[in-house]
Amino acid sequence: MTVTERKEIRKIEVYDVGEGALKISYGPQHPGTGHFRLIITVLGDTVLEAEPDPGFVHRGEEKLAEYKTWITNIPHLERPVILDSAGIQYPYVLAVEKLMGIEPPERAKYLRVIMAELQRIASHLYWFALYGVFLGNSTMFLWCFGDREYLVDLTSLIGGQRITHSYFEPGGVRNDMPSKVPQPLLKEFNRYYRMVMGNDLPADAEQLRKYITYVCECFDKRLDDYWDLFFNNELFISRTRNVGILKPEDAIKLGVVGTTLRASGIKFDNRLNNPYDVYSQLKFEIPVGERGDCYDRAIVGFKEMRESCKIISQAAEMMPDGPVKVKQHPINIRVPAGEAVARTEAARGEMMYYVRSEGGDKPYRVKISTPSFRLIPAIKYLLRGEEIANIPPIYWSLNYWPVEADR
Amino acid sequence: MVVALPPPLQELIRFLASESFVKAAVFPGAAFVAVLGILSVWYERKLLARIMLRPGPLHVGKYGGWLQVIADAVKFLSKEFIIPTRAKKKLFVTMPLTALFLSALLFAFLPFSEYWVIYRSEIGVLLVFVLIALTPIPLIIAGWASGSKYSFVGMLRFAFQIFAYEVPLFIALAGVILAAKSFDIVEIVNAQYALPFIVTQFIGFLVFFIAAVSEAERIPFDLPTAEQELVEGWMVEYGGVGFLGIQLAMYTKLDALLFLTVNLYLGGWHGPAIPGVPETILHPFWVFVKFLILLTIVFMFRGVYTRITIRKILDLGWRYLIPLGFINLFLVSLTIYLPTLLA
Repeated sequence: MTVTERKEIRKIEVYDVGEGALKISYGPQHPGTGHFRLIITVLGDTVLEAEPDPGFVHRGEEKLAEYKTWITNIPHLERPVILDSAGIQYPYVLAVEKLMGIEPPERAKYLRVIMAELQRIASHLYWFALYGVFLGNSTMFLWCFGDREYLVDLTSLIGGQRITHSYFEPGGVRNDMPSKVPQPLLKEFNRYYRMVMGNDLPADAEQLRKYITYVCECFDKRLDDYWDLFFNNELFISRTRNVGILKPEDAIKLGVVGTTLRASGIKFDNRLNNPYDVYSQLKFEIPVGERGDCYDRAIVGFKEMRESCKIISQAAEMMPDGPVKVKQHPINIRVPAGEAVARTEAARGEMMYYVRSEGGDKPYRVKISTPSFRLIPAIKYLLRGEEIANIPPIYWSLNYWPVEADR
Repeated sequence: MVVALPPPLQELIRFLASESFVKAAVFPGAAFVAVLGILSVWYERKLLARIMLRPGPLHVGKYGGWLQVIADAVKFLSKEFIIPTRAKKKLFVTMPLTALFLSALLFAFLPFSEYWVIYRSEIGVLLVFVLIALTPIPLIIAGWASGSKYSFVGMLRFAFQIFAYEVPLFIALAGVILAAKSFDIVEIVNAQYALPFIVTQFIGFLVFFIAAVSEAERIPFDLPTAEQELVEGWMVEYGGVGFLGIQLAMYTKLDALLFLTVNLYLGGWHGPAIPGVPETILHPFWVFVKFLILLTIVFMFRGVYTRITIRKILDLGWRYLIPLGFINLFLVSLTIYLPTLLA
């Protein structure tokens, strides 16, 4: 589709394409898609062709990065996906570290892993909240958001902010986590803990390191309820089972990443395949689906939350004492000339950065490859020939985030 | 000292105190229907809030925010009622109220005890079912009269679903009529004095209940109004008073269908006697207890179920519920006529 054609089609709401088929704009104001538009050609109830039309929330993050210094880039680079901000700033920080030739202290690596996994769970909960509500289950929406609150509180305790914490920096993390948990938060969490586990928090929960493991333990128990009410629910299964099947060979051809790829049965995860920081020292499983349908994609995400809980409690226990950054950087650090690539596993899949420096205080080029952008071909492929009623489960099972794709 | 009232005023007071007026206007008539509609909305909100681990309405009204629903109604009333340019004005304005009227009319035939029914008729069941079959028609007209393609598409889905589920509803009913050997609802309830029909016709009860939930457009059968896919479906053009009227009509219809289920399958007002409570209070009390149980079940569906697709809804209606209804009818006729054949 050329630019002029695209401009033409944006003006059109519904029009007849002959032989009874209609072209309909699904989004960007439709509540079911977010800041994203699908132009679907429908014949009756069947989607003949779906044309994804991203770009409504393009902010030019890559170009913007060339005008900001290496450090001030971090806060704005996390903006495209604030619910998984650790995931999107992680590879940038790793790439800059490669260019500078520095290695963060051990404690900082663990803190990064804890933060990244906390945000992975929070991001997955956000995903399931929307997945549920677009299938008509508002309980799923409210439960996910309610439980996410305790994880976000923990994030803000460690990083200082609920979601956009800009916690990572080249050579470590911004600050060490406090050793104690404030009483009001402890009291609030105790209510939740009692509801889920049936007993009060142990006395040593005041230590933040212990508190983290209790949060994980409690959340892991809570996921049993999720399984009973949402994922083992007959109607949820009937909406998602055998809908939008993505075969392994197609998944590779389309270049999808993350939960979508793993749900199709391919065990690829950067935490396992290209381990960074301390992931190689932690024990965790990579959940893999069998059929590659919408249900498998949800279940892979669900199991990943459990694995993340395991990772966080392990990291909290293994974390050594010590400094959390190599040294305090000035805001206008200079990075030696060169280029670097870093890949991590963000909540939605592989996040990759290409960073090039000419030796100045600003990057010469920052190229971001986000997982959501790589899911767009899958949207086009999976929706072809489906019923209109299957658009919400397919779209939301992919865990596509328009802002992340548009950057 | 006795104050002598003028004869017309006396006449008026006598009329206001007469049984037929109290029945029609107060209980189980107009006032009761309005209060019941409002209370069921409140009950749904509180119950769903409990399921979703949140407080629900809290601040308006002293206990449990019960005034919130009335505050919402006042808000709807104070809003501008927008009529789209392309709408058929007269139909667009009158249809919500017609729907509400038809749904409320159902209560005229629903008994709350043997003598407490507005209009007892020998063909009461048939009258009720004529009304149930009529209630979707104003809503279908409303979807068409909005003059919008979106409400038109939503209306078509609504019509598909309603027609698919009215058939099993009537087939299940045939079993009840056969077993009670009467069209009179009071007679049907009295036939369940020893054993409610839910025990003898469990399949029929399931068919009737599922079809009733679908008729009332509740999750998981709320496709016509599917918030996330159609954005309120056929009622997308309605705001203010019109929306309020439609919502009230839907809740009234749900309440009426559940009261009907209580009368047809759960044995109506028959229940264990409580010492010291007169029958006039005890009978409606048991009807309400059974109604509340059904209402809770229907509202809980919304808490735990997702919406199912239109294809699955039609599948369920035509391919499962109707054959099940016929199986039920066959079993009922077997239990009735087998003894006579063997004798």
